[in-house]
Formats: sequence, C-alpha cells, structure tokens
Amino acid sequence: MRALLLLSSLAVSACAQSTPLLTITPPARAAVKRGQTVTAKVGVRVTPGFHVNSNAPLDEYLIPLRLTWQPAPLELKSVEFPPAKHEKSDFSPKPIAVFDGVFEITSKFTVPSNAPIGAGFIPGKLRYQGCNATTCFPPKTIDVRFSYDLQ
Amino acid sequence: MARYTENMLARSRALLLIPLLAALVGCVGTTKAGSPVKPESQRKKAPEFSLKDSNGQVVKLSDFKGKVVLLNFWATWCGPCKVEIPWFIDFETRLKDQGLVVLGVAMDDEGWEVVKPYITSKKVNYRVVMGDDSMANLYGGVESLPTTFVLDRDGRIARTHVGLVSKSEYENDIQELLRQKRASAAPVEFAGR
Repeated sequence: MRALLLLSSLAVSACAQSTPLLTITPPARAAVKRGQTVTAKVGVRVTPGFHVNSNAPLDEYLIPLRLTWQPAPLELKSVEFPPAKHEKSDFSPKPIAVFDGVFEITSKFTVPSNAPIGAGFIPGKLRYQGCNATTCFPPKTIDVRFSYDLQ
Repeated sequence: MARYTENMLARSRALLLIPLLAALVGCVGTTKAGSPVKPESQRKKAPEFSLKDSNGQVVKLSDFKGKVVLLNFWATWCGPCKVEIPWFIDFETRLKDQGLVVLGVAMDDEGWEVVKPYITSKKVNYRVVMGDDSMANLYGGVESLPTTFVLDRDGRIARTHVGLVSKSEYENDIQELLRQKRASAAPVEFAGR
C-alpha cells in the first residue's frame, strides 16, 4: 500500500501540468526530519503575452492567485508570492497587480515532533485567472501535490 | 509516461495557438477587423434562451423580435469587458430608439451577489441576464471573454467578436444592421433550445 502511495505520488509530482494559460511545476520531492522547516516551491510559467492576477490584484472584482494546501501532518507556516508587476489598465483608475513570465510560489511547512515517519504528500490547489490585453479566460483551479519522505 | 506527457504538452501547445493566433490577427473576433458583417445568406439563427435579469424578470431572445441585438458575454473579473461597458451604455442611450437592444450575459460564478453591485455602480442602462455553462454552450462554448454576438433584425448572427475590439467596429456593425430591413414581415424565428 505504501509502495502504491509512493508510486502514485511520484507519478503526479513528476509531471508539469499545462493549461492554455500556464504550466506549473510541482515542488520537488523532499526528505524531511521532525522539527525541521521545509520549503516547497511551485513553479509557474505563464504563456507569453498573458498574465495572471497576483495574489493581491488591487481591484476588488479581479480574482486573486491562490495556493491552498489541505491539512496534513506537516503544518503550513506561510505561502509567499513574488513581488507583483503593476500594470496600467483601461478599466481601472489604478494599476492592477499581475504576474507574468516565470515565477515561484514558496510554501513553508514545519514538521511536528510527532509526525508519522514515512512517505506522504500534501494535496494543494492553485486557483488563477488570467488575461491578455483583449481577452480573459475564466478562473481555473488545478491540483498540485507536495510529496515528502519523513525520515 | 514520457510519451503521454509529450502528447499532453503537444495538445496544450496546440490549444495555446488559438488565443495566440487571435492575438496575431489583431486580437479581434472571428472576423477580421474592419470586415463587414456576414452576408445575409451566411447568417445562422441565434439560439433561443430564457434567463433572468437583475430584477428577476425572464428575458428571452425572442422578446426582441425585429431589433438588432448586441449580445455581450462578460464578467466582473474580466478587464477588457469593463472597457466595453461604457460604449454599450452609450449605444443603448443613442441607438435604442433606432432599434438596438444591448443585452449583457454575466458569466460570474458568484451570480448576482457580485454582478448587481457592479452594474449599479457603473450605471449600466441596458439589461443584464445571468448566464451559465448551458447558455455558453448554446453559443458555441464562449471559452474566453468578452465574446459578443451581433444579431440582425431577423435574429441571425451577423458577426461574432471574441476579445476586445474598438468601439467604432461595434458601431459600424450596428449601424449597418440597423439600416438593413427585415428579410420578411413574417414572425422572427429563433433556433430552439
């Protein structure tokens, strides 16, 4: 059963996921120990010519970028986004905050002293909404997974 | 596994070509910028629908028999859609008496909770109905916003714009269709759901 879990975890974490708007690379599998803080980086590549809203897009109607993780033996401490690019728009009096190109979202977890030893994974979801200058795609949520080996 | 991933990436790249090609041709609709509306013989009936407006009243496409209809799919999270809204307010004000109807189809998942405050704050003077996936599917999927269908007085799709186009392009379409007489005096038939 554990081998099966490990295999399925490897299969998901090894694959980048693509949509017309972006490609995400899940965090690298991590070897962790109790009491440690571990970092999981989700790589995002936005299709050239497009952008996604930042985690704080500066317009109340725009849908922010969100990375959420399900509760797991590892405790989530923070989810950090890079600085956003501020762009002027024709529809808002103030610039909107977006991400484009390639960037990373960094999540930090602590490993409790009683966390179970062995392989595990934390399922997460990345919700995003993106546009170019003339067109927007509906918001979308894609699954991500952080796999680890607790030694 | 590697081949599967490669196939997936190839499919994704192919999908990417659609919006990118749209961008290359000027980020305009399915017809070229400046091209006229479709000849009457090539126009297809617009699908009939029945949706509720912000006051809870049922709106059917067939309510607008004999009118030129600007059917605009939009959402509050869509920036380019918001650029168009003041244009549509202007069209509704100036061209309503000549036979134009502007109808917004909001595609927000959160529904009226977000749409109503928005259209109130922007003083939207045309009717807005709440759309859904089945409505979008009726009109070919509507995979990106804004998507706008310009219908002639006989309820046929004369032009489709995917993405933001200029105000003058819309106005040219509308003026041309307002000038055209109805094909017949017979009742307008809309494609059934």
